[in-house]
Amino acid sequence: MNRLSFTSRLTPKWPVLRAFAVMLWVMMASATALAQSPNSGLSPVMERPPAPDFQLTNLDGELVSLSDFKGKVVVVNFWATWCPPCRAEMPSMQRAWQALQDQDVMMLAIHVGGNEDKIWSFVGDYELDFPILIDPDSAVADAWPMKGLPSTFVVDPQGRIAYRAIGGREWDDADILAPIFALRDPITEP
Amino acid sequence: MQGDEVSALKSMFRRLSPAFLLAVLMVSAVSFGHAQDTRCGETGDLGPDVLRWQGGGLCLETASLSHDLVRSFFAGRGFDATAVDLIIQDGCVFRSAIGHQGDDPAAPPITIDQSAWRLVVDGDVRKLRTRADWQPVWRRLNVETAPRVAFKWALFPSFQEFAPADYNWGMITFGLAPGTRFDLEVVWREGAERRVKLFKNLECAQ
Repeated sequence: MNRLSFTSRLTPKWPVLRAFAVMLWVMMASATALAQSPNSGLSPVMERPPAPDFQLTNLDGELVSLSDFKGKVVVVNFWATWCPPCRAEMPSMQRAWQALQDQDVMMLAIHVGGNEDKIWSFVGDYELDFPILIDPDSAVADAWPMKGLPSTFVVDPQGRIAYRAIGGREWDDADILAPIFALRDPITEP
Repeated sequence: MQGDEVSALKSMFRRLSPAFLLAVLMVSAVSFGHAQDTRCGETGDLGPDVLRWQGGGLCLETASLSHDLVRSFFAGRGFDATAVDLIIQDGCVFRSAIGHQGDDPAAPPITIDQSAWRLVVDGDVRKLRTRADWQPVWRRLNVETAPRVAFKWALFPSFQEFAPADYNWGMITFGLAPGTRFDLEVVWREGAERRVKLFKNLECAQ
C-alpha cells in the first residue's frame, strides 16, 4: 500500500475521528485536572479558643495589635520568606486581600523571624500591600496553636479562632473566601 | 459458539465500543491523574530521587538534600561555618512534605509523632533528631536568635495533626553521617488507627 492510497482510505473518516479525538482530549484533560486540583479548604475549629493577642511592629515600625481589630474578622497568616509553600501562596493572598478589604475583613501576615531587608525585598518582588508584621524571636508564633509554616487562622469578630489552614492554599478561591465572609454574620458558627 | 451468536456479539461490540473505549480512557485518565497527584502541597522540585508515597490517610514526599543546598540555606539564615558544618556532618538532612492524603472534610485527621519513627542502620535501631534535640547544640554554640528561629521553623514539626487538605513542608534531620544508608519506619495515626510503613534503603547525601 503506498502512502497516497493509505491517506485516501482514511480521509472520509477524518471528521469523525477528529471530533472523537478532540472530545476525548477535553474529557481526559478535565478528568486529569479534576484529579490534580490543588488542596483547598479551611478546617473549622469547633471549640473556638480565644486567639492569643499580640503586639508586633509592621514594616513601617508601627505597633499593631490583634485586639485593634476586635469586632472584625481577621485572617492571621504565619510565614517566612525562605518557606516555599509560603511563597507559593502569597500571590493568592494578595488577590484575596483585594476582596477581603472591600468586605471589611482584615488580613495580617506575620513573618516568623526577623530580617527586614529580605522581607522588604520579598514584599516588593511580590507586590504585596497587605499588612506585614514581624515576629523576630518567634514568641507570637510559639503562643499560637501552630507547628509549621505556613499556618493561617481566621479569627471571628469575638476574637476567637474559627478556622485554620495548615499549609498553603489558594486564598482567592471562592470556597475559602465564603466561610470567611460568613463569619461577619454573628449567628454563623462553623 | 454459533455464527449468529458471534454476529450478535460483534454487533454489540460495534455499538458499545465507542462508549466503552471512552469510559476506559476516562478511567485511565483519572487514574493517571491520581498517580501523578502525589504532591503533598507546594513543595517545589525535590529532584529525581524523591520518595513519594500515599496511604492510610498520609501523603509523604522526601528527598535527601545535597550538602551545597544545606550550606546555602543555613548560611543564608545566619548560621556560621562551624554550625553549618555540624548540620552537614551530623544532620543527614532530607527535605520533606507531609500531609493529609485527601481533602474530604469527613475523613479522619492524621497525627504524626516523629518520636515514634525508627531508623534502621546496619541492624541498629535509632531515633531521628527532632527540633528539640538540636536546641542544646545551638545554645552550646551560642547561635543567635535569628538562625535559631529559622532552624526551628525550617525543621518539620516533631508532632502535628493534619486535617484533610492540610500539609506541611520542612526538613527532617536523621542524625546520621554523610552517605549512610538506612531504612525508615514511619508511624502515624489515621483517626484512632495506628499505621506503620517501612521505607527501605534511603541514603544521606555524600
